[in-house]
Amino acid sequence: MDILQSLMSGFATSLTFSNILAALVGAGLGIVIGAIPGLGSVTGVALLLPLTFQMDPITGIIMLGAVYYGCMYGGSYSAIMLNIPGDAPAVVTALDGYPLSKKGQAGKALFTANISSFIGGTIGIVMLTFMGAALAKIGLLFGPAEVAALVILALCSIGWLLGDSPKKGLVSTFIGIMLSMVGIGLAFGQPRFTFDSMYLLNGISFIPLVIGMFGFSQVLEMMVNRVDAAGLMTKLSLRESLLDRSELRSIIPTSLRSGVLGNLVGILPGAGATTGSFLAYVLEKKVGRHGAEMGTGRIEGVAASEAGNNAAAAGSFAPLLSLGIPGSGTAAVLLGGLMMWGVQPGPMLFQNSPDFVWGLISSMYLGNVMAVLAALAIIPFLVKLLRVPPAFMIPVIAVVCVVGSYSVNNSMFDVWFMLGAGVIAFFMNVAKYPVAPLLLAFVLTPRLETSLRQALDISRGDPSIFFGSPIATTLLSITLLFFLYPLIAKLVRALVKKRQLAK
Amino acid sequence: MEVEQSSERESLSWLPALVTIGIVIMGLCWAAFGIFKYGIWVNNGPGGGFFAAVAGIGAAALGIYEFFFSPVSAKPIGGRSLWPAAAMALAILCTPLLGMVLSMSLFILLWILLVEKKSWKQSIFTGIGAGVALYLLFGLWLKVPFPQGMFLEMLQ
Repeated sequence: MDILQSLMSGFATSLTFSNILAALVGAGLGIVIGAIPGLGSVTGVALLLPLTFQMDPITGIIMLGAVYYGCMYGGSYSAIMLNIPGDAPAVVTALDGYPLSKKGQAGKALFTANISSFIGGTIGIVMLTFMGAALAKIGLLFGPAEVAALVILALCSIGWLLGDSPKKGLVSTFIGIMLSMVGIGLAFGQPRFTFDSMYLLNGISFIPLVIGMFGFSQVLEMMVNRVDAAGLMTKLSLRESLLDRSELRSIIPTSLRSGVLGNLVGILPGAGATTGSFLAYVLEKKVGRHGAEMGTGRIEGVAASEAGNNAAAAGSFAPLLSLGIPGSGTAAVLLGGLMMWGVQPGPMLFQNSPDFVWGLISSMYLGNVMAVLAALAIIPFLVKLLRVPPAFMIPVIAVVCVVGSYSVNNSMFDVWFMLGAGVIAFFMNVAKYPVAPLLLAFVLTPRLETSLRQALDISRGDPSIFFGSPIATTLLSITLLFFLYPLIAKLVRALVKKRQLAK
Repeated sequence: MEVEQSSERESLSWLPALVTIGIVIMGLCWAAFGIFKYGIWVNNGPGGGFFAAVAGIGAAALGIYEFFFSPVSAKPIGGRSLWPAAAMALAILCTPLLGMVLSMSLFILLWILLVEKKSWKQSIFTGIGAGVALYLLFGLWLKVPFPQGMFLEMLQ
């Protein structure tokens, strides 16, 4: 009851004309920034942080919260329409979003992304409202051993979940792990696989890699398969883009379970929205009714990924507010903003600055609603963009790839790297090696390496640390079950057949 | 035209094998560096080369298997598919001279005109429009410091 009263007082603080306007502007800007390849939510919030210096702290944080949500919505647009994920979590969205777009169902994919983002975001905020402090404590139960076990689970489910050939998916996963080794090693601080290049000391930059492997390789692919999008889109009206009742019924359960899982992953320090969206996708592929068809252009795939990453984004606020520990890169930038306004996040925040905290939480509801309204309003314009013929799309997308990869570090090296990655990804596609496992392994491996090293440092090299913790043991058991499942299923089928024959 | 296309396809049919060989070589290099240079087990825990060695050996082993036991039928492609990469490489090489915005505008203009064989009007309109959009969005709003190029610097 106290929580509800506090939330209502938060709404009383946040629901003013200037705050609603700030949320709307923030959501719109966030969607635009999120949709531009190369600029994710971290960049979006960091870019707009100085704009909020002059504002009242509550208005400022409302605007930044809306920018954050807007970016999470916008990240999926370029993934769905152009196969260029706007940010890392959108890599998973592209797996089903782009095939849907190729089938002429870009409108449906965009609607699904928006609705499931809204559901995922709402689940995240509701859980933050009622269980914020408790969730943050659960997050603290995840030490290095538990995080390592979680990432092992995520990594082991990549290769054989994506692509027609599990062996090729596994090879791609290994390549992703190898590429993530480039740069200064996290455990020992030694440069690895840099080939004496100063550009590689900080490791391979993810955004140029993802733009090249998804976006530029797509440009090369378009030269081979010239599908005239105008032909596909002529039939596509806004009305046809809306989801019908059966489609809505199909994505709502997906969004709900993905939202809960994404939120739980989001509260873990360092796990982030990418892990959230990926694990939600894995869960849907395992338990969803259309799991087997995911990856070929199913709205459930888009829904799982988007609900997972938006819920994770909300989840990352729980440790930020309750413990002062940012759960993601964007949350770290927001932490800087909060400190700039003289607010010190941590266990005392709820007692010392209740107006601010509940104003912030209520503003997240506001930001989420504004973001979904702005996102839905934009769809007709986005769908029209897809009518542009390939003759114009090819050079324009190629230029977007170059500019997007340059703008990450303002480095021409990144541009050349993107170009090379694009050509290599195209060759890999020709040889039927899937690219998505490579990128997911690239993101997840550094977390695994750090956590594994920390866990074994704590136990002085004793691997029993993974079996002493119930959470780690459970996660490792699930991983083992994933591996053994096909074998067990085969055995059970054989036994059943034998019994039937005996009867 | 048919003959041309099929010969192009045949000429690139070796590509999957080449990709697999590249993966095997990369895997072996990573494994060797991981084991011998960075160490796989250091101070009671995984060394800097642990993951490189595991992934390298895995990739090389699976790559060898794919090469010998799983022949790949390549998707039909032609050399034309690499044109955007070659043209873009040229445009990037022009960046120190013309600057990023001008190089990219010219790339779009010339591509639409010469490769896509569209009209002058369409090419110029798209090239200049894209250049202005790039400048406004990235240069002015997001303050991305694009290389200006010697040409613009001389004019200034």
